[in-house]
Amino acid sequence: MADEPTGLDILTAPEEPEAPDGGDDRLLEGLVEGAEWAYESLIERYNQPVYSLVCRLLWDPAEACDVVQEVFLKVFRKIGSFRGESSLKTWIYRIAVNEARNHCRWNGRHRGPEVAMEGGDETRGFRDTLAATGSSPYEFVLDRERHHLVEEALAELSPSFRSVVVLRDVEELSYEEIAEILGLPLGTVKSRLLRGREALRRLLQQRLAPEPGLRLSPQLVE
Amino acid sequence: MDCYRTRRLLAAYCDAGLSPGEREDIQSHLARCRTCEALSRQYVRGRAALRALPVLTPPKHLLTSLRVLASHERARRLAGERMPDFLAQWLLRARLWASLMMQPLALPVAGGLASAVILFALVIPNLFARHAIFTSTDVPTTLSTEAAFVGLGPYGISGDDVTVDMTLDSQGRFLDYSIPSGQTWVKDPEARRSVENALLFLRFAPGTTFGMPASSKIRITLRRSHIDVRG
Repeated sequence: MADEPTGLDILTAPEEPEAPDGGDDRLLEGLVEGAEWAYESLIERYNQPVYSLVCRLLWDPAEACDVVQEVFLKVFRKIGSFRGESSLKTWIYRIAVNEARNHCRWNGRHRGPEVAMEGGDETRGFRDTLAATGSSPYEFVLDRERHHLVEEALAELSPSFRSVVVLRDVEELSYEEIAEILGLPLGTVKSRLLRGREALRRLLQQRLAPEPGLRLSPQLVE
Repeated sequence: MDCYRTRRLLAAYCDAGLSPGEREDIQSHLARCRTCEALSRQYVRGRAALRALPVLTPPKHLLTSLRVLASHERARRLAGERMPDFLAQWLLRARLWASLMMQPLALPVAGGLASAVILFALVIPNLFARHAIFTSTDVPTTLSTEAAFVGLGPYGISGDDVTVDMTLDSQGRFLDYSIPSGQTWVKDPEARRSVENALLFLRFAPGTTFGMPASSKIRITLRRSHIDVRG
């Protein structure tokens, strides 16, 4: 699969320089100059984190693909206006969160629930996107169930709590970065995180509570 | 530290975001309070469960779509950078086209404009030259002239001044007359007869149109001492 030519490979000029090693500054410079390695590097570096974030905010892999494309389109077009006041990662995450939020609003107004008509890679379920852990089948299934429960509980949180919890506990960003991405004061971020975690704890407690079992009582056979 | 304050700070405690003093206070409270300690463990477990969530792998077609998107955007950006050269070339072409178009048009436009000016200069004075000044020996050259008074007849008028509008034929002879408003002599039959007699013997040179004698109208005022003619 790696040998197959991709969209950028086809259009690559032979004299295109190799991707240099460097941080965000070099990457930004390359993007502004229109260097192909910079576009490729940006996609390679951020496509998975952005997809993961958007997917967990929307709870819909198919929609997440569209939103991720919108995010990258905005990044490509607005990279010239990026002033470096925050890190590139924070800036991209901010665009991703805003796009996901806008998409949720638009969906809430214009669309009802949809059911995919075709199967295959395009419409695979959320759990199918989880990477295999390589453990024993029993542990694998147990992990999947546990993760599924957590993901479901996460999806039930209100969007304002969910975004904070995902950014903090899944993406492991600092409070300051979260405040910058969401455009909220630091105190509000802490407050939402506390309330979001509490809501998540309650949801998980409900889901993990033991079901009332079948009561068996010994009886004599006549 | 009480349970309420402990629970408010529990999230920050799990994130190790508290000062050493607050951390010690919470630890001492958790050692005493089993409920808060259980809650703390649940938070820690929940956080661990969230961090243990697997990486979501984007579908392969998304990566391909992103690469195609990047290729298009890169091409668009590079095309945008070359825009000034393109604009300059476009402006040069526009200027050349205007020059080639205007040169053949310049002579006809200038000739037409000059012809129009000359024609108007010839026609306009003739259209408005109504009050030509000429003597009895002059041949009228303007398009139209008015009748001119030549002489009085043997009859005069008795009474006040008289003003009348006279209609003359192409030979300058009196055909008809009308009386402007405000004349007092109109009511006096004797005065009217006297005026009509005087008008019949007045002599006029006829007016002309394109050099030919034509009928015309003229207003005259007769006074005792003299006569005014107003065309």
